[in-house]
Formats: sequence, C-alpha cells, structure tokens
Amino acid sequence: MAIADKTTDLPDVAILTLAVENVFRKLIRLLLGKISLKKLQEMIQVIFVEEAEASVQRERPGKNVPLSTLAVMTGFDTRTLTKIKSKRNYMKPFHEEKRFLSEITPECSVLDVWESNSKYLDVKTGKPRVLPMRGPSPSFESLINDSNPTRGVTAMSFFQRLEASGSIVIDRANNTVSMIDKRYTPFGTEDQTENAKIGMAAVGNLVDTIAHNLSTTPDSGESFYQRGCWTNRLKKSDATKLRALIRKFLSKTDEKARKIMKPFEQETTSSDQITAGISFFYFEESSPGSGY
Amino acid sequence: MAVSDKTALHDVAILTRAVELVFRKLIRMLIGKMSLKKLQEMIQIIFVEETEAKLRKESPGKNVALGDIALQTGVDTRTIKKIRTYIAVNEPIHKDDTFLDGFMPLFKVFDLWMNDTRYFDTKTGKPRVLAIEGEDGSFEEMVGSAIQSRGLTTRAVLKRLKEIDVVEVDYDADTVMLKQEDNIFISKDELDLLDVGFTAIGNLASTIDHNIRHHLDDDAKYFQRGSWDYQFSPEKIPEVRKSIHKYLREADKKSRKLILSLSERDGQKGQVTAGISMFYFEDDSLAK
Repeated sequence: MAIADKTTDLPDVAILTLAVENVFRKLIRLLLGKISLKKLQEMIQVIFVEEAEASVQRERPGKNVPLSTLAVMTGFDTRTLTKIKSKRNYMKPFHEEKRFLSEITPECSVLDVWESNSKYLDVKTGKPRVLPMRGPSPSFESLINDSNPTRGVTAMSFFQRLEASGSIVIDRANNTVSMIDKRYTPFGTEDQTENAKIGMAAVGNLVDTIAHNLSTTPDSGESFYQRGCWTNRLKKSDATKLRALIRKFLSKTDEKARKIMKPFEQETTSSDQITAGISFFYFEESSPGSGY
Repeated sequence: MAVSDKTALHDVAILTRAVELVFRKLIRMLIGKMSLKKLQEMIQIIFVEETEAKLRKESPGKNVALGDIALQTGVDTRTIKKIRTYIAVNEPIHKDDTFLDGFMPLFKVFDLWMNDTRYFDTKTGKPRVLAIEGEDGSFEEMVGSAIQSRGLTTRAVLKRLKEIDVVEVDYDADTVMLKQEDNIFISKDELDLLDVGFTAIGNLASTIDHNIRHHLDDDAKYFQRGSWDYQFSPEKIPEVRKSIHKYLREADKKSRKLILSLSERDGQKGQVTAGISMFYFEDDSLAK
C-alpha cells in the first residue's frame, strides 16, 4: 500500500533533485497568478543568501562571512552576491516592503503605476484618470510600457486579465479604460486568502517537523511522528466514498487528539510555553505517483 | 468598489508573509545540499511548465502564446523561449546530467574526488592526495572541472572544505587529502527523510490548492486540519510527545485498514492515489 519506489536506481543527487522538484512544483502550482516568477525568484534569492549567511555565522559565531564562502554555497559569483546583499529587502521581511507587494504580479504593477504616477492621475481629483486604450502617453498602452518593461507583453493581454478580475472597465464605444478597483486580492476572496494562510502555516509546521527529524539520529527516539499511508489502487468511482470515510475518521481522530492534549495545557499563559500539536490531511493524485 | 491602499496591500502582505515563511524553512533545509543557482534554474523551468499547463487547461486545443506566459511570469518572451527550448530538448531535470552536475558546487568536487580515476586511486580504493595547484590531477584542476562559475576560486573551495572538516591540508607539501569519504553533504538517512518528507509537503500543497479552488463547496473539500495548543510547559513536552505519538500510531493502524478496505487488489490504468498524512509538530518560537 505504497507508491512504487521509482527512485532506487537513481543517484543520490537525482533523488534529492526529484524530491525538491516535486515539492516546489506543487507549491508553484498553488501560487500561479498570485505571484510572478520574477518576484518569486527575487524573494528566493534574498532568502537563500540570508540563510546561507546565517548558517555560516552559526558555524563561526562573531566572525564575518566572506563573500567567497557564500559563492561556494550559492554557486553565484561574488559580484552577484554583492548586488543581492545590497537589495533593499535584504534582511527585511518581504511582507513589509511596499514596493515588493505592489509589484507582486504584472497586473498589480499596472494598477500601482496608474494610481501613483502623476502622468496617469487626474490633476483635479488626484484619482486615476480615464485612459484612451491606445496612442501616445498617457494611454493604457503607455501605462503597460511604464509598468511592465517586459518584452513581449501586450496591452491586449492586460485588458483581458484586468477586465476579468474586475479591476478595470473598458468603454469600447469610446475606446477608453477606467480603473474601478485598485485592489489586488491574490485569491479572489478574503476567505480564500485566509485558507491559503492557514494552509501555508500547516506546510510550515510540516517543514519544521522534517527539519527536526533531519537533525536527530534515527534511533534516538527523538524524531517527531510523521507518516502517511495511501493506496495507488483506488477505483476512481470509490474516491467519494473514501473521502467521506476518511473525513469521519479524521474528525474523530481530531476530537480525541484534542482530549489527549487538554490535560497538558497550562491554565495561564507564560513566556516559556511551547506550541505543540498534530496536523492531518487527506490527499489525492489523479494518476499514481504523478508527483514523480 | 474602491478599496483603501491599506486594505489593498493587506491581502497581498498576508500571502507574501505565508509564502516567505514556507520558502525560508524549505531553503534552510536545502542550504549546503543544493546551490541557489540550480534552485533558481529549477524554479524557472517548473514555473514556465506549470503556467503553460494552466493556460492550456483554460483554453483547450489552443496554442499558448508566449506573451500570455510572459504576463503570468513577469519574464520577457526571449527568456521564456529559451526555457521552453530547454524543456523541449532536455531530459526531465532529475535525469539531466548538466543540471545535476552543478547541483551543489562542493557536491560535484566531492563526487569527482571519489569517482574520477584522475583523483581516485582504484588500486587502493582511496581518494588520492592531491597537489593543491598545478595541472594534471591537482586539486585546482579538479575544482576547475567541477565548477564553471565565475569568481569561484580554488582557494575559496578549499577554505570551505576545510571549514566543514572534509579535507586536511599539508602546507609543507602543498597537498590536500580527503579525510571524510562518506557523502557528508547528504547521508542516506537524510536523503530518505527528505524524500519522504518532501513528498508529504507536496501532498499537503496539493490538498491546500484543491481546497482553495473548492472553497465554496464543503463537500468537495479534502479534510485538512490541525489541533494544537500554545500553552504547554517545556517540562511536560516529553510526556506530550509520548502520548500524542502513541495515539498517532494507533490512528495510523486504523487508517491503513480503512484505506485498504477500498483499495483494489490489482493495479489498473485510471486508478487514483489517495491517502492521509499525519504529523506532530512543535514550535518554541514564542517561548524564545
């Protein structure tokens, strides 16, 4: 009752690559349309260098981390590393960086330039002006060029996406475009954003558990429980039945787990307390082991 | 329906924070095992592949325009063309030797030292002691073959290998020997844990993705829940772990029976993979 191990013949580095690819693919699938590749790369670059630096600092407390060491760890040359380290978001949380947030997707950049660049603002009201669809600046076409200097991106594709998301209204009779909602909601509704936040927190907890288990020796008895059981031989028509059975089973398991934890909970809050818990989820893959 | 700047940024900030946290934790695990350069290459390929797949799903039977991929990725069409060509021409990433060669600069150096006869003595079955500098069979030559990154010097590589206690340098003889012959970058146990763990993370990400897409239909959602408490005393934690682990092992047995009851005996086309995953976690960041 397990996915056939297709990785046994592969060298270590290929097994690791496959595992990393699998997890990043699923996470990226979740993030498509919510963050651009450009911004994701920017974030990953900064985080990687920060974490590499922190890791060397832990090895040699109080000493400077030479760029050449970071070059060995990252595979990047020292000039690129200097550039990354001088970025405004280096060692700063991304979610507090207004510029990063306003450029998180190309659509977001358009709305941001429209409502902040004086060229695109109505002098009297200070609000985003109604723009002709095409023609010299200021027009929607020039707005696309100013906000997304990416080669090959056309104003037409932005029309479609921004209109579909309810951010703009196109007056086709007069060939003009107006902004009606400058809000960018990554998941369409706040409810979905909240689901994504909770979900990502669960992913974070799972990563912590794996990291903990990597730091302990297998026989030490200190590993945290982390296990999955599955079948890759479920008839498609039985999936609904299994989902219902598992929902019932896991709801009961959850209830009982809470009862087990309750007696350990301290009555008052203090600063040295630890958060601990369990997490469980059901998963399905349409084709056996398609993650591989 | 205009919304204030504050609100507009709020949702994006929530998502950014969540994404940042997850990627930071993942990256922390990968430091020393994979280079940033390779991780970025991989992410670029996956992002373009997945964007193309998504656009194809949205408009079945139609070609996916480069401009549409550019719009979703924020990357120019020339770069996308290059990535698409790479995808079309090459093997999957984990089978692509060129990709794997540069996976981690030190990993490749170690690999050459242990496997290439220029640096490994097959008679003794030991890695050779190498002259630090020079041409044939030197450490310098080996680093040059392993790493083609601008600015990555032999000295920097040697320094790092010394720091992590993998090599011993004889400065009088100007030679270097490999003293750690096991793969210190990732052991077999670590690899197994990462393989199993990353599969579980991937499954969880799929479940979250599914639930976000079906957020209005409770029946269609997959079960995903956590139970935790913020108020555990550090002294009681060993007991908490023991009790919960015991309970989870029992739950695991029951869940196996449940899943087995619906699993078909023989493998056939069109079958679905389905299961559950359970884990215990701790977070002492608030205590710190």
